[in-house]
Amino acid sequence: MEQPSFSDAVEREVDGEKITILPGHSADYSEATFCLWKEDHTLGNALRWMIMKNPDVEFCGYSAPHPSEPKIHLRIQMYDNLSAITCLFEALANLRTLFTSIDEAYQAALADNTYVIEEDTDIKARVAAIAQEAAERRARGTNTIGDVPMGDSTS
Amino acid sequence: MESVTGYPRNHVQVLPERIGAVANSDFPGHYPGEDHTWDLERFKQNMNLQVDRLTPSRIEFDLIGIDASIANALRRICIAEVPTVAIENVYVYNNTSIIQDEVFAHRLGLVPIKVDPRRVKWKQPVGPDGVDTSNDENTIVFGLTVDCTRRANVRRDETDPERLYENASVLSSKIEWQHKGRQYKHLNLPRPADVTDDGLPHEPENGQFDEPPQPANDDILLTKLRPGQSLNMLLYCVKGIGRTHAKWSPVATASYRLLPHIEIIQEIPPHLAAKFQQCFPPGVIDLEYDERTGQKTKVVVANARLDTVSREVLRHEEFQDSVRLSRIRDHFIYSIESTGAYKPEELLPESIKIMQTKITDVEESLKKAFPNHFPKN
Repeated sequence: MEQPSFSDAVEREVDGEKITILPGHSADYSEATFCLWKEDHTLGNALRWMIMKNPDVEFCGYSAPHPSEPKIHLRIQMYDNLSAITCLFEALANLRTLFTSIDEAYQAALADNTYVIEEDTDIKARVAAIAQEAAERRARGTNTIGDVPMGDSTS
Repeated sequence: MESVTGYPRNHVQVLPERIGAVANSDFPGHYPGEDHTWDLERFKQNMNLQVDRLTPSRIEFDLIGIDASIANALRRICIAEVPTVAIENVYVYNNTSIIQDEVFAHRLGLVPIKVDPRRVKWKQPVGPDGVDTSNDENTIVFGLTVDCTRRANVRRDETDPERLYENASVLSSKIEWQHKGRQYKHLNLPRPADVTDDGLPHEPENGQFDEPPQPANDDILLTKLRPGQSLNMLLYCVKGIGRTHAKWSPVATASYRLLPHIEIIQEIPPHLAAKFQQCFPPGVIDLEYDERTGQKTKVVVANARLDTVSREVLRHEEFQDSVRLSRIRDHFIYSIESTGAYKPEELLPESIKIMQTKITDVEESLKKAFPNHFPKN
């Protein structure tokens, strides 16, 4: 399922990779900045939160370097020279189970049928009723909203 | 658990001139002696989802016990990444109306089209050989042919254009679907009479055919015409997402708000009870019978959910130290209104599916690049 990029003008193929590592990471990958292509705050912020839930993480932050570049940078620094890549793997797996459990809870809530099921507000009927009311008031000679005579404020 | 400010930890403080404690701090190492490591079982226990209201176009539900980053991801995907089908190309054969071709084409694009996007394939961009990739699986064609004429037998003094002229207003109901190829099979529809039977079995999915493609609302005013003016055009619809253009957004609104919370920390004097109640929208504050005054002067919070958190109460000096306003940081009240392509209750599951594909995409790519770092257990 091919989804369009943010804008074809800035689309860049990086060997077809979804994720790359920026230069400057430590040799053991305990500190690394990842670049996630064609992703934005949607995944970036959720992933950042999940990575920060890991007690082995010293620091995690993400940024969208420029609004017209379809990528985000994700920085992870680990304690005890642990692998930031492993941490990212775990966070992705945890995030998947999190959303699965939301889906399960949603399906259960939909099935339990204790909520209000009703028709939409009939806007046409509502407008007609308001118009009718205004017409009646006009017929009675009382001022209504939108039908106030000009220069009549003193009387 | 209360902090020194008197607000519970999971409350966003609503103060007279600012809001406080906005950010979540449930991370390992933030509170001494507390474990905030990710734990699926604990998450499931704390998380609660309740559907409040469902109408043909709208769903409201409470999602409790999640972080804002998760709540926001779902909201963002609903708006920008759940695909729908919308008019993308308009071939104008004739347009003598007051609206220019390009303006009218843009206007047509925004008409919500009711066709199940899951039954339509993605259209690949035109290849380098310049060959158009449109086919019956990825493109849905509508025709719009309207002529405006004078009506016969109209009163001489009639001034209403709707009575004077036929088709004075062109509504979206004039957009007519044109069946192409074997589209009835892809779209789960009965075989149209003018399409030859290919001899293969064609049964409705789940025992029921879908509705033929059509605009989600039949009373959208597209343009006005006067006698002698006419429209003749073909409208080609493709599947897309809201990030590319808002016309592909499946929702009219997808939003959440945090549940308001009102705590009365000091008794409201009986003579001010009515004034206090007036500071909130109707239904938020109740006045109960007070034995000491023999009147309804006892202030109680009846339904904080109805509060708009206008902070009106904090403008009055006599109430400033009597009430604590806040919002519950992990209690999200979602409201999602569909434009018609999806049922409102289908939008959240679709969003979750898209989130899962995002996660899988990153995971697959990372696995390819760093197979050695994949967790052992």
